[in-house]
Amino acid sequence: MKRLNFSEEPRDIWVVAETHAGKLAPLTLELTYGARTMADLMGFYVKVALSGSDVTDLASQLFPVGADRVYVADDPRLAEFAVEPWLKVLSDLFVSQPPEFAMLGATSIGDALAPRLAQRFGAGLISRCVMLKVDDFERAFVGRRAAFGGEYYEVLTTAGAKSHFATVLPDTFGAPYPDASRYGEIESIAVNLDGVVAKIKTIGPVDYALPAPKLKNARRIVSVGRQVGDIDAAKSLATKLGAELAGAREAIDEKYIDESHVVGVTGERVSADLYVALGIRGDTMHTYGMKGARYVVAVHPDPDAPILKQADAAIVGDPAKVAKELIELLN
Amino acid sequence: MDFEFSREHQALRKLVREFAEEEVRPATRQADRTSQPPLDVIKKAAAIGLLGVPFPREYGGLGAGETGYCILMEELGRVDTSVATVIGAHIGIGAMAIYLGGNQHLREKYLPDLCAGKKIAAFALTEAQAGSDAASIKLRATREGDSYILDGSKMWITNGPLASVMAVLAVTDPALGARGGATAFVIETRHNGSPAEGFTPGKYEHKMGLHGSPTSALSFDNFRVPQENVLGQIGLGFVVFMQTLDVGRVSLGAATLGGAQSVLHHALEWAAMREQFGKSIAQNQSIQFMVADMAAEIEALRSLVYRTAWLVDNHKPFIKEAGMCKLLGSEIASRCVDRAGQIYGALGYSRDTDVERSYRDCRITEIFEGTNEIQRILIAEQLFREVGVKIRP
Amino acid sequence: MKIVVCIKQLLDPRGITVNRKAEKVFVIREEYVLDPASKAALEVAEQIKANAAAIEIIALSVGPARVDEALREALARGADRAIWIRSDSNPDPKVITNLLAAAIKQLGPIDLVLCGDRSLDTGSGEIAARLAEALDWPQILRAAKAEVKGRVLAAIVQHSGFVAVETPLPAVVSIIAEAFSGQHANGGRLMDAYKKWQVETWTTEDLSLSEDDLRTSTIKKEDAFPPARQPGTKVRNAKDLVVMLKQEKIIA
Ligand SMILES: Cc1cc2nc3c(=O)[nH]c(=O)nc-3n(C[C@H](O)[C@H](O)[C@H](O)COP(=O)(O)OP(=O)(O)OC[C@H]3O[C@@H](n4cnc5c(N)ncnc54)[C@H](O)[C@@H]3O)c2cc1C
Repeated sequence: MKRLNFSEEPRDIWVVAETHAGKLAPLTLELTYGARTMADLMGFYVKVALSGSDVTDLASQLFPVGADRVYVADDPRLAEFAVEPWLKVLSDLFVSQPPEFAMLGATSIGDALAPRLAQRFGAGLISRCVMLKVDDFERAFVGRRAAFGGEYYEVLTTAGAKSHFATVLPDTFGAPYPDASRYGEIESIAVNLDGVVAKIKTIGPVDYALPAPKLKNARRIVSVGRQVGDIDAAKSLATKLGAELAGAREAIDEKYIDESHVVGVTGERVSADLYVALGIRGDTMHTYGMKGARYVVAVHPDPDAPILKQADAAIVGDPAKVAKELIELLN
Repeated sequence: MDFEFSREHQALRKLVREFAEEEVRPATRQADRTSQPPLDVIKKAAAIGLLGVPFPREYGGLGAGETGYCILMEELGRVDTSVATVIGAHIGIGAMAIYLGGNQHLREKYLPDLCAGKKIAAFALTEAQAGSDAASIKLRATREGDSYILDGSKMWITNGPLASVMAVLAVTDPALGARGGATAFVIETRHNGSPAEGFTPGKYEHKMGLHGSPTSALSFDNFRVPQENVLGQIGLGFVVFMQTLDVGRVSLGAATLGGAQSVLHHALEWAAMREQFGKSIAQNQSIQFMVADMAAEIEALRSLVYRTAWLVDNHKPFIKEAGMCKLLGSEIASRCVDRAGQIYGALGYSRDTDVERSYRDCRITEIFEGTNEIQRILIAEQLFREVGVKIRP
Repeated sequence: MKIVVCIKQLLDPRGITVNRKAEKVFVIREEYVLDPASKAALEVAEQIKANAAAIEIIALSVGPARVDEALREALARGADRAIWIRSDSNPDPKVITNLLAAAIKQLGPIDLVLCGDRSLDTGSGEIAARLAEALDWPQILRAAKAEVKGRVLAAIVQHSGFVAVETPLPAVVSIIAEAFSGQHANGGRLMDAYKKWQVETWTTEDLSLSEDDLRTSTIKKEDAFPPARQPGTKVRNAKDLVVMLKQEKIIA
């Protein structure tokens, strides 16, 4: 474990930036904006570490959303993300500028780097936050993370640690309100990758099919009834959501599903995180099987359909139309 | 006194429950509709060792004893009585007769393949004119050199159409009758899938329930068995068969326990959700009384079954208790399934529900492996024996 | 060749109910199970073993006495050796990693460490990357399968597809829960796991760790609950629905 040497109070909140296709990731902008809000409460600075190739020009876009200072590691060897070089750059930076607080996106990059940095520096780390703030009394991060698939949250604190890290999911701080009049400094940092090699070699895309989950264990289900209208729309929605297609008993009559995909007292009892009931009326025979689902969305043209009273989100309308709009919005 | 299951038995229960829920449950409806046993499920059970639960490790079993076997039967019975019956006839009585009656050679020859599910076993006692009165069997075994020749037939044999190994009771000395003149054999009725010479399985019996468990008659015509395949002693086969059934009754009790437990569970869940007259039907005292009675009976049965299994595993007398497991288990299951059907209303009469299938499946448990009348006779016989009175010749 | 599989035991989610209104988690049935991602990791280890000669699989688990059951299940799922790293306090991912890494170093040359990627309960998904740091090995995260051919070849989840990657040994690979085939434990091995084989017990004293290594840096304060859902909440259209689903963190 390396020791970070806090010679003076750092008073910074750091953001580790990500870029995609020559642009700053929206999440980076959101985190910078979130860091700004926290920094304003604490009287802190917001610093951003921006690594990549040809990224210097992007740095100034971070000022309107809240950055005070952007440290740029611009080097062709950083064009593609790889754990070892990125880790080296950030580690060097953090050794010279010990971060009291640092945020990364809860992305494949953040997931790969944050645990390593935290382990390296003995920092506290709250991963995959859906809410994050600085506890000004403890001078620590306090964050919420989904427990058991999001049914509730665990509140974690990094109190007691010297540095405080977090990875943060999108939409935690909300869309930034840029302030075009804000400005800051850009500092380019020397990249020293002597002896550092990326150890993971990417070979390329492969076809791999995960084992299909049994209906009762499926995490997401799109379930259809007689009133679904257009079964293809429901099927496309299922594909879009990575969901299994199931149905109420009467859906067998319509040949939408076979007997092994019935949800209800005459079929399976499910435990999905998301259950989208399209055109299902929702008598007890069906809802018996649906009870274990965490979040139920129901769409039915008849405002008196019983399922609408039980669903967590109920839409009176044409299920196929809503399904198509959902696919559109999710694209 | 310790009412806690051992750690390995708890782990076994978890494994079997998971297996029953994940593998058996999805196959039950299809098996019930098509009257085809879910052979792939049986194969999967074999692959993880579940067909060898009661037998010692040296024969390819799990060495989990009668308690372990009851756990298996309870958990299978909870999900599907058909699969429990296929496996029960295979292990609980078929292979069990070989284990109890067979010498070292026969055990080693047959048990590993049976535990591994490479072969399926059956237990053939009943004949057309010999049901409750099993002692009146007529299947003839005549000595010819160092072989026996079987002629005659059996009826209502579970796994009859599937099994390639069977424990069969035949008359070797008609003059002596069943007591002294009946001999148990282990026979090979199929080779590479086709019936052995002299053996013809009858057609699938169309039954009220247990559709996933095939039953058929068997007929033997000049069927040759080597003499070394005698289970136990010549002339004392009736003892082997009765001992086997004694053990089998405990696990049958366990299977009915599982079945009763499962319909109670269904009934509770449904009663809580189904609304009539503006409230859930569970709020009616008449429904509450039904579930309370079911639960009380089930709890009593559970204690009886596992205490009897403990008697078996600890080599204590258990015949009376075994009869009680079978008798009470089947009747409690029947009462529970009847009440659950009532709580389900019309739905309980629909072929699409588990409760309806349980209703049909469970009826047989009052009949096979010795009817409940016969169980009462056996229990009474033991009771009178305890006060020094012999009520049967 | 030696493979270490780090496994996690957790409270069976089917045994708990969350009452948002009462702001409470009710444990209806306190039963512990092996995390599906750990099962997936054990399965990958078994597959690697099936395709190569002389591989020893060692299962490690940090936790209180109850993890013994998970370790015995690991034995039933093909592990050759099981080690319980005793920890009665509430270790955070940092401390868990330090314990695991110290054990791995003590076990002598290990070629591959497999972990579950993210556990079903409150999984932080940090352990694999932290272990890679502690051991100074390369890491492959979110793999659906992994093979060993002198090096590790893995298919990892990326966006909505899979990408093949490779890295030299020794390495740390985390396996996603979704990769688990549903294979059940072997009954015979399960019985042996209880009656014949032992789970070794290692305590922090057996591992060379400093006080600092054992000090947690992230601790749980409390549980928090989203507002109770209102059954029958009317939503106008698909757009509003997407907003609600995002709020509930059901879709990203
Ligand atoms: C699905 C199924 C599977 C089976 N599997 C097997 C198997 O694997 N192996 C096998 O050997 N057999 C098997 N059997 C046969 C079963 O064990 C017999 O059916 C059972 O023993 C009863 O015999 P029975 O049908 O001839 O009835 P019977 O003996 O004719 O009895 C008819 C009625 O008379 C009553 N009764 C008879 N004698 C008395 C008495 N002394 N006192 C009072 N009441 C009496 C009986 O209790 C019953 O109520 C199976 C049967 C079925 C239906």
